[in-house]
Amino acid sequence: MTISDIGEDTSAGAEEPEKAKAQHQDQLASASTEPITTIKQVKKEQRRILFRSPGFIIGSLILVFWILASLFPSLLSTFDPGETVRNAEGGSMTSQGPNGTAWFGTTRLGRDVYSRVIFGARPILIIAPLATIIAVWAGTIVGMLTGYYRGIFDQIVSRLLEAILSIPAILLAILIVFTFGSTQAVITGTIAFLFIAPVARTVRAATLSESQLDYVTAARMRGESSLFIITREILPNVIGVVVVEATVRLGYAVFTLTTLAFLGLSPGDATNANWGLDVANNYPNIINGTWWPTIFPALAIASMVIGVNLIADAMEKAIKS
Amino acid sequence: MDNEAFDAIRRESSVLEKDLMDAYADNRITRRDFVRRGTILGVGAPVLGAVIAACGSDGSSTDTGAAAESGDDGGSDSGSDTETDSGSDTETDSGSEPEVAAETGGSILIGIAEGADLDPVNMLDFGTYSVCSSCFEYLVGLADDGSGGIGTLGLAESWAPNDDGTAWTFNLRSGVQWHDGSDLTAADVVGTIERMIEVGAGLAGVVSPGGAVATDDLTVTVNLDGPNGNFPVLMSIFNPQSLITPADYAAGTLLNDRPAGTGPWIFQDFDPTTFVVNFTANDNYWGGRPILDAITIQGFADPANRVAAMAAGEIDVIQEFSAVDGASLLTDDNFTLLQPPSSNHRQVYFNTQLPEGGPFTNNLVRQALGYTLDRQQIVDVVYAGFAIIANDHPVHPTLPFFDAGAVPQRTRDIPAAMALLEEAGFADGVSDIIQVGQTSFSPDLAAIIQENAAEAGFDLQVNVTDNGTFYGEFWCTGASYGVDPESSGPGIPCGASSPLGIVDWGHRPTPDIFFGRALATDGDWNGSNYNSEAFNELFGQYQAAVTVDEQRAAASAIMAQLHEDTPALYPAFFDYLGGHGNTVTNVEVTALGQFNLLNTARTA
Repeated sequence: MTISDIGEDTSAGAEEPEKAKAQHQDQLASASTEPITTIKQVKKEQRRILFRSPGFIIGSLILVFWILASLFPSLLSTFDPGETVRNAEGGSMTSQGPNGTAWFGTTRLGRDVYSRVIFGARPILIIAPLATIIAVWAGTIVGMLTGYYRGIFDQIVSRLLEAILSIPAILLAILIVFTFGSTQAVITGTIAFLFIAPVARTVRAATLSESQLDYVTAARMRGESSLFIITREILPNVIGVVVVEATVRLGYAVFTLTTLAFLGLSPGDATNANWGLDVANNYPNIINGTWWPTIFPALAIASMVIGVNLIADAMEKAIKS
Repeated sequence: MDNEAFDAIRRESSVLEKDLMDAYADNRITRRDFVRRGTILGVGAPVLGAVIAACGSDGSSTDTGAAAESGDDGGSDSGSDTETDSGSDTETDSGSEPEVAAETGGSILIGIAEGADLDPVNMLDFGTYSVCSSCFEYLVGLADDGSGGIGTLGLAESWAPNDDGTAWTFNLRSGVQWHDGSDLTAADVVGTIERMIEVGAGLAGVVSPGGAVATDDLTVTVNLDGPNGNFPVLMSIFNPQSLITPADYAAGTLLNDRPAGTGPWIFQDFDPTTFVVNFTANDNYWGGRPILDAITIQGFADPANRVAAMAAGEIDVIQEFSAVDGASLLTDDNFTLLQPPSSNHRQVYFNTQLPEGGPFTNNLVRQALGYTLDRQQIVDVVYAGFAIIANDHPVHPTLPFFDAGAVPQRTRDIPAAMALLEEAGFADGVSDIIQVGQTSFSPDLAAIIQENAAEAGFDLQVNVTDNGTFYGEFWCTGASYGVDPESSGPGIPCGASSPLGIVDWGHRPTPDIFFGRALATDGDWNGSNYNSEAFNELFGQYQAAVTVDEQRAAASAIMAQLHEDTPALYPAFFDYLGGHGNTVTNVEVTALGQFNLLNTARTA
């Protein structure tokens, strides 16, 4: 699933430059009359569209909830994730369906599913954004350099990136994490590494079309250095693409991270609240009718991925407008 | 008590038998224990019945009464205590439900845990046990009363020790044929024993090469290195690697390469990729032809899939399942639960030697962890109630030489645990990692221990790895401590075991293997690196003990020693759960996954 998603997304990203170019030409057109105020107006208008988009509002609400859960899990939860829920007689309440005490039910060990879902947000919201930031940062540099310089350098790096993209991402992730151990650093680094290639390809395409535009030629003729042109002239015009790419990647990072955890490759304690791990540990019990310890963490994963993607879609639309 | 009859029987008996009878006459052991212990010594059921009658427990007891009595320690260990000595019991356990109309012929599909190479003397898992034991047989088999204990459904018709228990003589059944038509002889048994000694298989240190001698074609005398009152158990179905194989077998010969056997089922074919094995009925079986025409055994890698297949009726018999995974089966009206006697347990081992100065090298810290455990919670949650509390030693409470008064039961006592930690110099708490493999129950047990121990100041992490990694890196790796097992030469077998971990142990009718392989200093599965001269000496005494009183004294001393040293925690003994759909009748399974399907039939 992850694999095809990444694949589709790359092709979607490839269309991006066209839109960016069109949008930029709009800007150029208006710039000829009242340059400064118009750009500000465009941004203001984009922001207005974004903030009014229902997708963005819903996505943000979901994400804000999970951020709060990861910052203050104890405030939102009713039990410790490793604590046994006990009945009035002090006995362990195991495999109980959702009820007044344990809102999402309990696991076969008597753990509160709701509290584990809340506590499970933190590890994901540490690793996924960190990996995304690294991937987007490195991918943008690689993409801009290849897109700007082109030639043999671009050929070599692009083929290399394509080689990486040709290997199913999750397979590569399993290989790397299994080899180097499932520590937090290794998992963060692995997801970041895997996402550099798709980010670089998208940014490269955007840079490629930007760098053929007149303002870049003008800057060259002014004798600006390549560094200046890339960072001061092109970057501001591809930043929209980068931001959208970052948001999309964040969704995939969450998904990849939980997939690895489902396969048993998660950092730290095996009893920690962890959505992917909880799904893996509890799904054999579905056959006995105990669906809640599996479904609720799975829904949590889905909600976070959907929330992030709603935001990404809304941003993309706003930038296009 | 009928002294005259008792003395008459006693006069005819060997020294060991006399001791056993005296112990029973003096009420030092229960009738149940008397029957069980008598069976190991090779005393026939008529004699046992006569002694019971002579001692007049209720006058009406006959030999069948004695046999049924030994049956009710089968069933569930947890429930058996309430029905001791009632004398009126019938065979309630397995295989004897009221006869439903049964068909002859037909075949059934049995779901087992996926096994490994079909190597009878080196096999290590339940799946392979059940396959190899379908066509091969043991010297000492199951009891013929369905009790799940040991008895005469094996290749030996009778057996007896010499006076001091240093030599045991087994009389083979006559007229037993291998599947190729040749006769089973004492040479096959001697060859098997030699192979077992060669690879270990529970006989290393008990018998030396050349110790087994074929006195004639049907008699084998085994001369032991020292006295051993439980030797028949080592040649029984409960030492699974002791299957009697042809004299031309070698250690490492696979069943599928050299099909053979004396048992009720003839090996047909084996597909290692799907782990499906086919057998057909042996028309010339010494115990009579099986009712079914054929059986197919199929391995399942995932226990949950096995349960799902059973629930859906895709398989007729399920070898084993956990009460938690199989909760739906327990309430299924179309399913018959089988619970053979079981001393299955999970051992929480500590590396008692290394790292130097580590918290768990101190016995007070180990005791402290023992006092944090809520054993009832473990029984209720991990085993869904299908278990009994244990007391940090591997002696099952139903054993004849178990003395409940030897050591007090360890219960959850947080202040005591904290006091012990303080005394040991770890008042600020202890943090470490519990290493567990992907075995059923172990990860759940680790999670409960983590929660229980936290209150006393133990900060324990749980690290779950696949079984290969667990056995290869954290248990008995054969390397020295802190050394990569792959790059270093052989060291102490378990020198490199992790400071703390949980390992799985299957059922044995006596704790000899639990003592000798898991706790003796040179034991090859001594994950604790337990190095106690006192224990080794007591274990020697226990092995040499052939009378009940001696065994009880030695076992009690061992329990006290283990209570003090706590090289490992034994939180619970759990029940073995197997069963079959109501499409078949008369299935018997042991707590090591072996089947007796001789009388199994499809219901009409």
